Amino acid sequence: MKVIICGAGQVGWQIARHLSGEKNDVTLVDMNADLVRRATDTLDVQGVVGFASHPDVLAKAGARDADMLIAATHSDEVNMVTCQVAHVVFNVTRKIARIRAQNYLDPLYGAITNQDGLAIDVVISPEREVAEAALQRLAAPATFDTESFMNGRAQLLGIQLTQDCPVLNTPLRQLNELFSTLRAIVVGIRREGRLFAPDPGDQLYADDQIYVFTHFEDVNRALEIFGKKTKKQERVVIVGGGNVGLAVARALETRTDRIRAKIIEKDRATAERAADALERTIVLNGDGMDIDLLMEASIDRADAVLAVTDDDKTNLLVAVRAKQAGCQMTIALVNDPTLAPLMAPLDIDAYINPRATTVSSILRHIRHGRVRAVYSIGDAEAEMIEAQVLSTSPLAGRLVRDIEFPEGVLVGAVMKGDKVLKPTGDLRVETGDVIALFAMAKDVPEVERLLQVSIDFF
Amino acid sequence: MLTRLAELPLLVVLLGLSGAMALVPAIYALAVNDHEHARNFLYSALILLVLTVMLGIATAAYSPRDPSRSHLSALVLAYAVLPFALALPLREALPDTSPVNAWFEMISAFTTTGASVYPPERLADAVHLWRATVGWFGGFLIILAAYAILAPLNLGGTEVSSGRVPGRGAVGTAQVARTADPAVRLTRFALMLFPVYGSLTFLLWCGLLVLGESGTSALIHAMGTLSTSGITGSTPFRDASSGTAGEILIFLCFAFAITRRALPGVRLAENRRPFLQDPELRLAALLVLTVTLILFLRHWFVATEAAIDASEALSSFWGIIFTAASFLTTTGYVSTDWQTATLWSGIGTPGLVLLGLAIIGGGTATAAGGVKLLRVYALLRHGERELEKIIHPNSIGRGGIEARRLRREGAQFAWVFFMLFATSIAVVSALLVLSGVDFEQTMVLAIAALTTTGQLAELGAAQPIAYQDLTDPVKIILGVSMVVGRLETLALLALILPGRGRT
Repeated sequence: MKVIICGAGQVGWQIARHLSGEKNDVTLVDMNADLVRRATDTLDVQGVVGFASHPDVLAKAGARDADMLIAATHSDEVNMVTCQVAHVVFNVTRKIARIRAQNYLDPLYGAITNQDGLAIDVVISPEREVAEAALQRLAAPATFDTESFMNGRAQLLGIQLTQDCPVLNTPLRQLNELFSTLRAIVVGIRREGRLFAPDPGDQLYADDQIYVFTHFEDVNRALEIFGKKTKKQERVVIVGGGNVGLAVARALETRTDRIRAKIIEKDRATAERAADALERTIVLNGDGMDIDLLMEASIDRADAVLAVTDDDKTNLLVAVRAKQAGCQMTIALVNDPTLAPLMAPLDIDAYINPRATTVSSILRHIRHGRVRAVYSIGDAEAEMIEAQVLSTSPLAGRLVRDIEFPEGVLVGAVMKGDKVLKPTGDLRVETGDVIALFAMAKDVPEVERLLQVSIDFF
Repeated sequence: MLTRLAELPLLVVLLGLSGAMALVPAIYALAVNDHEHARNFLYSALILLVLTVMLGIATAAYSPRDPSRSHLSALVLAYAVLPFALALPLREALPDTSPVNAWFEMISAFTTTGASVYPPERLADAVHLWRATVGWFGGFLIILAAYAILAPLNLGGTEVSSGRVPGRGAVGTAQVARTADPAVRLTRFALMLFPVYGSLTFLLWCGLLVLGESGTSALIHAMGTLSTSGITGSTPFRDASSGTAGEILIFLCFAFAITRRALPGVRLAENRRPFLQDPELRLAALLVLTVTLILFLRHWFVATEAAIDASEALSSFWGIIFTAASFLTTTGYVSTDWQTATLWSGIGTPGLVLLGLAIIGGGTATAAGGVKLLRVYALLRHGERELEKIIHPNSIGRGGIEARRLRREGAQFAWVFFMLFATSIAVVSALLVLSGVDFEQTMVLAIAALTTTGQLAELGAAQPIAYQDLTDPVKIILGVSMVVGRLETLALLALILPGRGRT
């Protein structure tokens, strides 16, 4: 597939890396010649230097025979115009644009992005998705990673196991028999930095990070079994009042359980914008690293601190400082995935990787078959793929135990109608079911083949 | 023709209008066969009009160096000169009155104060109508001035919402190649405001007529309400035959003195909130209700007799609410039920409450006087914000850029104005004490004059103060302070202070 990616920023770069790794023909367009050269050096992509929405630049990038265009430059407006130019001039089939400003995304003005308007097939809004991820982390405070699947009926939880976990050193098969009513399954284990899909005979050890795919009703029970207490979050301090912080605060305000949030924002104008947009949340202006300011936000009594500034290091340090001051739980926004291993030594409870969330939502539109959700785990080491089973798929009509899944693939859950079922060997996968699969990165093409339309479909 | 007229100096135009106004009582007197008064007013009108024509010809070529400031000085001059012109028909009608009395009567009407040195029965209906007309004209002039003269100079309450230094125009921007000439602006706003102002008066007049008031008294009350002068005819307002129904109608019309937003058809450039969320309206409602509740509920703390008469309670409730609103808008009409209310609440002198309300005053760019609700609102918001800051010193206030400006610069200017107002009360009181007025009375008289609520003299003190008993110097001091109160100290300072030549 030929894909043009406009903008070699965080998101553009990451998608380019993903897609080029999957043998797609990727062309990266950016104004910054340096960045484009580095991209062509490190990734298997072609580069074009120029202004993304200019038709001649797009033509040079090969828009005439491109299958897809992803506009992820820093400017919403450039992204919109790029999509329209691609539609009108080059007739590109699929156009994805990143749009940050919430006003464009208001359902009231939905006509903006449809075929008659700007002809954008898919709008992705990183801030909104990151805010959602932050809220999920807040909702499941004991996890270091969460993502919801199957219309919110299932959840992927990342759990850090400690010494006091009651189910250590027990084979998974035995756990399954022990808690037979628990609709949860361990889909991935990271031990000593290596992620793998477990066999039924594998055991859990302290300091393992495990990924559990569970029914949403069983989330609390699952956490308890793995030795995590759930506690209600009441006082939340958000450091960074930009789009993400604002979106989280706004979502917290609309919640009925009256969470009291405070925002700390360094830039006065941004802080004023946040204060104007919020009703109850108190907005403080100043440096989030300043202990006086943190105390003013009563960080010592806060249940959680959410560091979501645009600087990774600030986020990490704020989280550490808040923990030291007495905050129960810290969540940091981290753009650089290589910083992820620092979380444990720094005692940061959870992190949000905005690229993982954004890239996931873009990947969902690139995958073949009826892929409904893709979540990229860790540093793109594995993916959680949610897809609908087509009648032509090799999965359709077969029992789970009969399907030849590769070694690194596990079934998380199967949804029939709107019932989410725990996968057992004698469960039959039928056409129209939604299946959630954990797949190691090297097995993704094979999973795609399994989900894909067979040749005889044509 | 109209534009040509508008280009004449403002003072000349106003003089001509005063002459034309004098025709109103003349026609009325003719209609009721009061030929003597008809003649008086007609002659005065002719004298003023002839004078206007002559002055108009003489000043046709006048072109001021700084037109916007020249209009401000013309406005101030109007208050200095016009009362003499307006007193002309009064002197004719009452040959035995002293010049100071006639001047005081007219300046009090023209500044919409409504204090009268004559016992009502001494004046003919035509003269009462003349007082009301002058008050009505004065009320319109101050509304018009607020829009066309004071607002461009960032005065009269605009400084609170704009947050810019009062007395200066807006900062010039390159794309605004030509700002509207003040004369043009005055004509435009006059054409916009007068139909509204006039027809509202007419509607209120009709309403009061329907409710059973006599034509003259209804017209005087309608004019007195719209201009907030509170002028009444030969019978006091509390004896008006329209009763509580008429009071309700007038009460509704107080809205025009509480917020400029109430005037229908007037375009405002500012951010349009729903009418009921207008800060001035809300603050006024809060104040009136608080006062009413306190006075009303006080009954239960002081009452000795247990029996509570429901109709008495209701009428005293209405009496307080109407009178409070009336004094808040600096109109000064007293409800029929006020006496009941006073007895009900058991406070001997609730007049002090009315003094407080009058100091707060009505809305900006309305005919009301006082400190103005918008300024009080700005101070309140500022205070609220400061309290928040005690808890969270680094917190950011909400409400958007306008609310923020109101809380910072707006509150600062409001505070400056408030201080100037307090200082003027002190200065006027001091002058009055020096002229030999009793101390308790000086306070009431100073506030009555500065808030342009002449009726406070009757209710504010323990014993009613009669203006006719005051000496001439006291009357002159009061007359001048009425102008100060009407034009707001800030506007006068902006005119007098050095640097007026700068633009």
